[in-house]
Amino acid sequence: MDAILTFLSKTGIVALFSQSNWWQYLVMYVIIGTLFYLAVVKKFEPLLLLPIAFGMLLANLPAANLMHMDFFFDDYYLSTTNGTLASAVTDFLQRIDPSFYTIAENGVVSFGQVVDGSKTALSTDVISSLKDIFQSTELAKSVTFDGALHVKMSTIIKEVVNNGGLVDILYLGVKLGIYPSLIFLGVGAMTDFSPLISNPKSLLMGAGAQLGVFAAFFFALFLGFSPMEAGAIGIIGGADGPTAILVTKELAPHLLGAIAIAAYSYMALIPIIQPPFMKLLTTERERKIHMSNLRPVSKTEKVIFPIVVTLLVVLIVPDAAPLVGFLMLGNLFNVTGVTDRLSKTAQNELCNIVTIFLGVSVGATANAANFLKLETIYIIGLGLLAFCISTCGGLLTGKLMCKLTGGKINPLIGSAGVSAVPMAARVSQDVGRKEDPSNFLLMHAMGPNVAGVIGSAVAAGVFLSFFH
Amino acid sequence: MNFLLNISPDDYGTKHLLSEAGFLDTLLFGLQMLLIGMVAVFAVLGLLWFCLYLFRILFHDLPAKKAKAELPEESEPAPVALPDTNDDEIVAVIAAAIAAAESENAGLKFRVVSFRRK
Repeated sequence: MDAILTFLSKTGIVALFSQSNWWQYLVMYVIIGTLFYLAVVKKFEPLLLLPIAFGMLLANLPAANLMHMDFFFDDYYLSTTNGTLASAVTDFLQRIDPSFYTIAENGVVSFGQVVDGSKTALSTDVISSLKDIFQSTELAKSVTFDGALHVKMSTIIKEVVNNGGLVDILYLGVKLGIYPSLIFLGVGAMTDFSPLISNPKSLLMGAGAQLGVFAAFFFALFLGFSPMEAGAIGIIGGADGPTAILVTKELAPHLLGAIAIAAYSYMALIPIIQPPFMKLLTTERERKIHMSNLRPVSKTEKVIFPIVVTLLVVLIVPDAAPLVGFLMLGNLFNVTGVTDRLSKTAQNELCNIVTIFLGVSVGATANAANFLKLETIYIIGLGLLAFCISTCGGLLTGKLMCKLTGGKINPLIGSAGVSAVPMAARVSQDVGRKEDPSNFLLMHAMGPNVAGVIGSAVAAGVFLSFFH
Repeated sequence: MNFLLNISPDDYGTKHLLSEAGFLDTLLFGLQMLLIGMVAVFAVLGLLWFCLYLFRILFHDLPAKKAKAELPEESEPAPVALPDTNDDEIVAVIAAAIAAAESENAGLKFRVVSFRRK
């Protein structure tokens, strides 16, 4: 009998209802069920939403211990009350002037000096002197100090390998920035940049459609998000999942689940979100504009293009290198014609495998404790706002170019500048054909569409170069 | 990097920028990021546009001009009198061509929708 009771006491059901926030888990199951429904029945981005939803399910099974999000936060290690490095942190703090730091109720240490009632950052002289003391402590082996304490990646990896679950190990691919770049390798191999090379003016529409990224950043600041969090939220407007994941894991990893789910959900909802704005901001006459045929693009141009883009973008915005570099490498595999095997692997097997790992591990970051917050609702609202403003930014740029070219450009292709390849370009085509069934805008819309991929990677690079 | 206000990089991770830096500084900071971000994106993609413009000249316009220059000057084509061929003969020739194409590409089926004499 004792054996049965022991077994029962270790079940997930007992673990679930013995927690004070058990109801939050039930709410999460409802949300997960909705995501399954959207992925399987409505076919909204099923390749990503399905693994994300299942990852969420795994993360919200009490006692399964597949994912420990705490392992990936500095606060967890450094908290003087419960972190694994707590005693070493306390030892360091005992050696320095107490006026240089404060300890919050949860034991998290923050550095800074209180002058005339307001907290200011430590001066470089003070940081330098504290660093000397810091270097002589045990803590220096696991942590770096530059006015704030940062856990070394090697410490996190050791913790994950020794005490982590399966999903913790998969999540290292996100934490180390491996998966988004590998997905971009596949996207690059699948993308044909000919429409962009043929009609380079469409680059400007791809740039205009990044307006939502920075507008959402602006509004997020006023909803109480920190600049780093606001940057991660803003990048949802880039309509590019891997970019959003890469930026968020750097700037605000605790928001990764909410941001990834918002980004992929809205990308799937583009056919519903965009058309009202397309009709609102364009006239019937503009929507009926037929664009002239694109010029043929030679193989030489196709091969030189990815190399030039990599050089240009990475030399100006180095932080965009992991995304743009791999996007263009994948494209180079495809266009040279001499690396067919690599191109096929990048497009299919590699991309599919990484998609599974990425989806499951990102979904697993959304556990009940950090997902069911007011912040998540704000993120979902700001994500929608970012998509809408980006759509309008692209359309208005298209409208301006229509005027400047004397009506040669159909402004509908501007909305495709939000990335989300090729969904946004298809929406431009559909809206154009509804006005005039003989109008084929798809190839023209692919120009701003792929320009949007480069544009959102540049926007991501801007945030990373500021805040990382 | 902040040209307009006094927000230290240490505040980037601060949760309540609004209460710590004040409404005006937060507003200016947000606008500054919006402006810098959009200018950066337009600058990079604008430069790329310029590069692709050079692509067009180097790889499309110049070779086309060169090819045109190398072609012998075209003289007015003399009107060619079409032979009065029997239509049955043409149909037979087209049917043979289709049969040959079908035998070479198993599974492919052709259907002549229309043809006209030039």
